[in-house]
Amino acid sequence: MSWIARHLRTSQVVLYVAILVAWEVFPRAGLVPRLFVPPLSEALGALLADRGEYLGSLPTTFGEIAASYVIVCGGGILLGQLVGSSAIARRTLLPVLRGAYAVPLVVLYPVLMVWFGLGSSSKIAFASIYAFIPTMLTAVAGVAALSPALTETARAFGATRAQQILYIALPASLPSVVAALRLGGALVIVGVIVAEMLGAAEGLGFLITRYRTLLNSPGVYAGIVLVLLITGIHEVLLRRLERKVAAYRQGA
Amino acid sequence: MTRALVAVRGVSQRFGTDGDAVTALDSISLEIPDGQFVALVGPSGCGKSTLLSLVAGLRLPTAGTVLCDGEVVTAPMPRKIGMIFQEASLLPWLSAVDNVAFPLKLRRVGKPERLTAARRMLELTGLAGFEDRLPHQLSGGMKQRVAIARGLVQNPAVLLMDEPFASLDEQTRMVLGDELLRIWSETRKTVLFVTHSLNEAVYLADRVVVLSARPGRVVDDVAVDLPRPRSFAMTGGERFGALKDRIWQHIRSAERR
Repeated sequence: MSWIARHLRTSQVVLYVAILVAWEVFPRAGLVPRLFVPPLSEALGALLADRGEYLGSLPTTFGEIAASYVIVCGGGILLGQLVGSSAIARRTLLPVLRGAYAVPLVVLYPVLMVWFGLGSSSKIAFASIYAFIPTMLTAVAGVAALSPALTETARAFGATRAQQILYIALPASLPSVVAALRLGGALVIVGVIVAEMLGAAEGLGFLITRYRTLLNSPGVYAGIVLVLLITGIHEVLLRRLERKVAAYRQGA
Repeated sequence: MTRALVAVRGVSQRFGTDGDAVTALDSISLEIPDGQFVALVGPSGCGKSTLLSLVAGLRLPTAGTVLCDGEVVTAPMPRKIGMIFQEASLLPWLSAVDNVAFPLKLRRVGKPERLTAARRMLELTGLAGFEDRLPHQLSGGMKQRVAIARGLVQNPAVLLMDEPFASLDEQTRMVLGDELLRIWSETRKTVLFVTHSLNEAVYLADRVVVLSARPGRVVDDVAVDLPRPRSFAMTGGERFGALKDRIWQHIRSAERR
């Protein structure tokens, strides 16, 4: 066995550190123009210097993310469960949804701005539309995969229709619900930041765009560091949740 | 011992609508006395499992009736009939003991009571000490022991087994077969056991019912007159071979058609 296979965890840490070191060293060595990528320390310095402004932008962005999260994960997962549990609904709706998924929805953003204005509503609307279909499709796949053997077993032991849903269908769909949460959350964060970058008066995405217009690269990257932190934290939390429901996966 | 605990009377099962209907079972009649161990064999696709699900009340026959303990079966009767499926019928998110207790939970039996009953069944099936394992932490043979314990937990009079050892390797099958016979001799259930293994059928059962290829009809009803307790040495004996041979003739002619 190679060293990497034996020390997987260590290797991953080494990789992360290497990326961070490269981020610091390459621009300093002149291998990358500082306007394109400033050293990590300069980005962190800008973040620290203007922390009031960056932190002040977070409530807006987090509010938009939270609202879209509720719409996408609440609505998308619920609708996904409903569509997934009906074979007819699956056959009629899934091709349409998959087709809609292929449309680059960002083209809708100018229209949404006209409808909902420059404020938070247009960001929430865009992020929700952007993340809804993939989240729903993930939930559908999970429900559709429910093994008929489990339902049949429960029926043989006298489970009523309600008991079949409560004790079989719901727990069996838990892993797909968490998978949908993870995907939906990640896409919502992307949707909100992109929408803020395309047209807004406040928020983290707005700050990034403003500093870009000013050609202030450390300022831009300070914003990017914050976005990375947000997605990273979301990912870690959802992965932890995923491990918790691993036992609910069928055929394990 | 003479009363028929399970009676199948003139049962036919057709699938599909008029034009392209398939007859899976054709006028099957079968009486199983209390305490008898019956194996059901037949060529693949002959409707063995369909017949079992009719007795279990999981579906209704197109014609004829199924009786259990004098009562017409129209829906699952979990307190009279315990069911043991092929592999992967355990709920993956429940521990062994909770899986065994599941039928009792459906009947809203209190938690301490159902866990006590489930632990006793796991002990009977040789799984004491494995109560808290999840199914994926158990071997294939252990999973089927859990399934047997679950089938027995309500102390039903009838045990229906649908190729319960089909996915196990041969050694495990033989060990579990002996275990099943031990449990059967201790509990004296009426057993209907579907299998595609002739060895297993003759080794375990009092009687082997042979179905023909589709549409399934009863073509032979073989009394296994080997003494009990059965032992591995019998499987090499002359009588064992003769019985197996007789059943094999039916299956071979059916598979050839």
